[in-house]
Amino acid sequence: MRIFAPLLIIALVFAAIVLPQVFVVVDETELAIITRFGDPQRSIRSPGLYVKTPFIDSATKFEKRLLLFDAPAESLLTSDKKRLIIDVYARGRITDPLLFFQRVRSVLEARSRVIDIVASELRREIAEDLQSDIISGKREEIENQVRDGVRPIVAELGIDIIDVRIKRADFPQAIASSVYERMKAERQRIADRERAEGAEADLQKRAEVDRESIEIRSEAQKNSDIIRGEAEASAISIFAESLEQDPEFYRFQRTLEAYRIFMTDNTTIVLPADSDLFEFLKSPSASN
Amino acid sequence: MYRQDDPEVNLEQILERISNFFKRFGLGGGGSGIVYGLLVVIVVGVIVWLGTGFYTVAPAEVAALRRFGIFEDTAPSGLHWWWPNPIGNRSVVDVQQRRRLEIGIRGATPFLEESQMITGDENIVDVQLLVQYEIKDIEKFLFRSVDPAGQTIKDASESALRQVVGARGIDDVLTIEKEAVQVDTKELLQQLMDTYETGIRIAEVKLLNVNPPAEVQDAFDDVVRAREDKERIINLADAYEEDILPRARGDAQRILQEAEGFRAQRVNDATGQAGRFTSILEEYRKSPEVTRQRLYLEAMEDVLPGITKYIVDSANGGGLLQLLNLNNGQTPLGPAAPSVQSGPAAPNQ
Repeated sequence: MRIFAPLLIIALVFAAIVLPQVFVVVDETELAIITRFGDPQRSIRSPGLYVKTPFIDSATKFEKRLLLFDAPAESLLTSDKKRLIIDVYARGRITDPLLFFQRVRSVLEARSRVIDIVASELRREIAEDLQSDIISGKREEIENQVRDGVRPIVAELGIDIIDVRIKRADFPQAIASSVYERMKAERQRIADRERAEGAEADLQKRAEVDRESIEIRSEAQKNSDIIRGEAEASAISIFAESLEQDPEFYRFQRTLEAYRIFMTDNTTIVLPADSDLFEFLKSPSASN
Repeated sequence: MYRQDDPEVNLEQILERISNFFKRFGLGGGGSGIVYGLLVVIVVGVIVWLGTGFYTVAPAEVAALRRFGIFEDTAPSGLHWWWPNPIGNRSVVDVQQRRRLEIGIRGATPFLEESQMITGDENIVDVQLLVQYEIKDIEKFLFRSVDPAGQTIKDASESALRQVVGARGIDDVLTIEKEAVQVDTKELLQQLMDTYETGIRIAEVKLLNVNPPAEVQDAFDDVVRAREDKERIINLADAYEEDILPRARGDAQRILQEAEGFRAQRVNDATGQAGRFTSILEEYRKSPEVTRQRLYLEAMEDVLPGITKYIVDSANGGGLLQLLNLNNGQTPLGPAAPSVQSGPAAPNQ
């Protein structure tokens, strides 16, 4: 019987056609939905090998990994009527393949719809905030509010948004030049201030130094005068203590010394003949 | 259906069953060559297919292995075997290489659109950043996020950097807060990488360049010059202080030392003279009358020799007239004139 050879070939061909129809391999990175003539039967969220009815059921796979929804940069109006170019992106993943299949079908379409939703929520949010808040303080708060705002809407597409972030918030090109002018003026102001502060510090320091120098000298002069006064006082007291012993003798002795000093060679004096000094000129005996 | 057994054993069993199957229909041994030929083709095909399951992992790499889409295991470097397609999958990733991402610059070319950003005080600053990262969790890296090492980390880096810079003034970003910008950006970026389940570890975030935009560079440079001017002037003032104050202190010392010297001199003088007086007085008291005479006479001896003297006799009356005459006269030693003068009075001279 030679029919086995053809049978074998038929079996192989059959297997080659049917096996892929029966088995569905869902990867770690995928979600899948099994549909029967377009009618969703079940959704598959974990990876592995699955079996379906061949030819009747078909499997549609979706990306399970975290998706990037990158919105284009847009010029938005803030609550204080200023314009900012804001570039935002959202991250989210398909969590409900059935909903996703029914409402969106492809990641490409999901991307444009999510971006639209995020953009409109962002526009609404930005319109309520001041430019300065968007630039600095409230950025994270705005991001969280946009995220919480789009979340329920996007959830209806079977997608869970986990993060919305402002990638860039820049001044429009038209404003940039006036920003530069403002920056220049501000720098000029700072430079002027620095130089003036330098002059201030200089003047102050020199004045302080001069004052201190005068203080040091006058303090020394004061102490010097006090010391000299004390010296005079000490001298007086030392003299007095000593001379008090015999004031009369001091007067006598000191007067003699004074004679020695002020009677110099061209002094002329007149002495009476009966002075004690000449007592013995007249007679050798003392007269009284 | 898929079986857990070793593939070879599995194959032999299958071949045996097929063989038995054929034998049951009386085809054993003498049967058709085509059937066996086909069987050989199948067996060879299966062996070749299984052979494609051998693979090598280079030293720095790790392979992530999937079987029917399920992540099962990782394999380190070396020669391994894993189920080939369509049963198994393997993805090899370099986990040791430190990868680089540049923001605001590509090699040496600045990328202004990325690098220019707004600071918290609404100025524009030019920031170039280098992010270095490694893959720490291969499962997350491969299966949890789309393009983790591409758009994901790039967007997140830009966003993190701009948020961090946007929270600071331009002066801080340009100077003292550089370090803080790096630290905060790294922390925020790592947080985002974890939120996005990228399996990426941020190794380093480094600011390559932080500058004011070229349009305002001159103005910023002028501020730097102004600060230098200020420093210079303050230095000069300090130098003035260092010159003047030590001199003043020196002067003060001189004044004080002179005063101290004066005091010592004055006190010494006084003490000396007082001592001298006391000594003389002591001796004088022992014989006052004689000593007094002696002192007087000695003094007179010392004083009188060199000077012009007139001795007038007090017994004669009008010595004064004669005295006046004598004053006008030239001869010093004239005749004695009577005088009432006593003591060492020097009249007009």
